[in-house]
Parts: sequence; C-alpha cells; structure tokens
Amino acid sequence: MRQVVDSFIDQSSYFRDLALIKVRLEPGDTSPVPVTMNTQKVKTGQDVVAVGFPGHQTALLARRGKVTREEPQNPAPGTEDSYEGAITLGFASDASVGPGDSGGVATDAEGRVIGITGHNDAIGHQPVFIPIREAEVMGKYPEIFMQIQRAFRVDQNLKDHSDTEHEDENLKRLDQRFDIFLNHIVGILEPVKGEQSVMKAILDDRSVRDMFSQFLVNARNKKKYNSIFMAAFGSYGVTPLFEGVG
Amino acid sequence: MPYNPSAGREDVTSVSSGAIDFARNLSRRKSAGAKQLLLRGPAVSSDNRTKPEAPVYLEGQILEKLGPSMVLIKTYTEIQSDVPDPLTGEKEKILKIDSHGTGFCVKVVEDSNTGERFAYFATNRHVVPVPSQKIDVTPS
Repeated sequence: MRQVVDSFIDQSSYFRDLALIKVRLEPGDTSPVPVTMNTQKVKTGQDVVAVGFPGHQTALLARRGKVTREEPQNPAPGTEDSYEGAITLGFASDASVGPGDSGGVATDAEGRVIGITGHNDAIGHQPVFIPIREAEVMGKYPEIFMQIQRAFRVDQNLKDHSDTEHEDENLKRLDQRFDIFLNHIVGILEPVKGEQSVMKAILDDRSVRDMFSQFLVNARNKKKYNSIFMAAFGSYGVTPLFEGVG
Repeated sequence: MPYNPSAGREDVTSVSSGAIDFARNLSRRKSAGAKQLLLRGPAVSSDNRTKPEAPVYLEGQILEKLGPSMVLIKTYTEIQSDVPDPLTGEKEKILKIDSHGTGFCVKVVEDSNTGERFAYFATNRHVVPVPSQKIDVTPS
C-alpha cells in the first residue's frame, strides 16, 4: 500500500488542466524513473507518440501521429462550440487518444516528453496536448510548484475574507495582499536564489505568470506592481509582469 | 505574515487515506512493449527510407523507455450498498470509480532527515477532480 501525501491542481487558471500528486514510496520499492523532457516549441508536422492507458485497460500503449496544429485554436465567442470546456491551451495531434489517456504524455521521436495529454479540442475534435514547456515549474521543480500553489491558495482565502463593496478599500487590500504574496514567493525561492537560470525559468513560467495575472486582474496602477516585482526579481532577467508598462 | 508551508493543506488530508498499490511486475510492461514493436515495424521517413538522423524510437522502444515512469491513476468514492449482506446483515462498502487517467513521474526526492522517498507524478486536474476522493496509483 502506498500513500498519496499531497495533491495539487494548478490554480493559476481555470483552463490549465494540470495537477501534481506526491506519493510516499516504501522501503524496497523500485523507484519510478522521472521522464526526460524536451521543452523546445513543437512544430506542425513533427512526429509525436501519445503514451497512456486508454479505455479501461491496464496496459500502457503508444500511438504514433503528427502535430497537426502547434498553437491553440479556440472557438469564436457565441458559437455553438464556445462553451467553457472547449477552450484549449495546447497543440493538437492526429495520434489516436481515448479516455484514460488524460494526464499521459506526448513524446517526440526520441521518447522525450513534449506535452501532457488533455481533452479533445472543439473545432478539430483532435486531442490537445499542453506543451511541457508551459508546465516547466511543475515538471522540473515540483516542490516549488506546490509551495507556490499553496501561497496562491492562502491569498485566495485572504481575498474571499477581505473583499468589500468599497473599491478604494479593495485596492488598498490588494496592495497588502500583493506584498504578502510576493514575500511568500521570495521565501519559497530562497533555496534557489543563487541560480540565475532556475530563478528566471520559475518566474517566467506560464503558471506563475497566470497566477500573477489572476491576482492583479483588478489592479489599476500596473506600473506600481511592475516596479515592486522588478525590484525583487529584475536582477534575474525576468520579464515584467505587464509588458509595455514602465 | 510569515509563510506557513502547511497552510491550505486541509483539502488534501482525505486524499492521504487513498490506497496505492505498487505492483512490481516489470515483465508485463516489457511484453506490452514487445507487442507494439512487432506490430509497427521499422521507422521510415515519408520517402520510405530509414531516417538518417538518429535516434528514431519505435513505439515499443518508447514504451520501454517510459514504462517505469508511467502510472495508471484511478479516483474513487467509497459508498455504502443499499442491500444488506444476507449473512452478516451489514451493508457493504462499494468503491465507485469516478475517473481514471494516466500520470507520469517528474521527480523522485529523498528526505535527508528521515530517509523517506517520495515520487511526484504529473497528470490532469480532471483526473484528480475532487480532493475528497481516494486515489489508486498503479505502475505500468
């Protein structure tokens, strides 16, 4: 018997269909082997192999295909397909994928993971894969991913208990929450602060960026938040929170 | 406010009771890979010549490579049967499977203080939709 000791879904966006579970291994267990990742951008026409447990089988299967679309293609608002579940965030393939493959992988021709299997898209009705390059923090630094998710959850609880009907008051509280959240991130990244490339990869990661976007969606003074963020992390060569805002 | 690493963990405690059965039979994985290899034949490019650039993996080789990384994940809810057991009179507990999917190992870590080892598996959030559910993890 093995124990799941932690489980986190990516809260940075409703549409990011990612989760991470942490399992305690028992003495004598053969360790699972971490996958090798290829974080380069996928190209249309490139070979892809989908690997997972389709149907109710317990056998792992691999199926070959091609990347048919490298960018997400979402249905136009107001069309028949524009329901929430139709929003896609990845590349598509003609590889045969079925229920149960969810959470599996797409690999390149050398067996390196390039994507995580999601649901079918609403337009082409083909399987969509979340690029592994957009899940880099979850894949390469899972402990940090979980800690950032926790900090974000703490903030969302704080927000739920502090929102008022007065906009000015809410903006003041947003300042306070941002300060707390940023301090959490600084604390979480303390062990890797000497590693420039790791810091940049984490702070520029899609899920971390989406989290800040969600956090600051009602912010009025974007310049101010950019300044605070860059004062804390600018030396790592990270991208500002808001492009084009001084 | 100091950062509290345990904050926000209340919704995962029920997951901790999930049973995870790690089978250790690697031969099954290998035989599955061999079948794929026989079915698919050699890798060729669109002009029907073997690709000069190396290496090009066949599906079976990819299965062989990824097998130790992949797990079958099932989430389930424990419900009580409506019908009492004719012998004991007790209502049995039944496992209702809610979802099944795949996960893959991204990291294995060892706690330097306790020596305990942990494996992180990535998957989809719709595979682990409700934290109150239990989770089974079975290796490939």
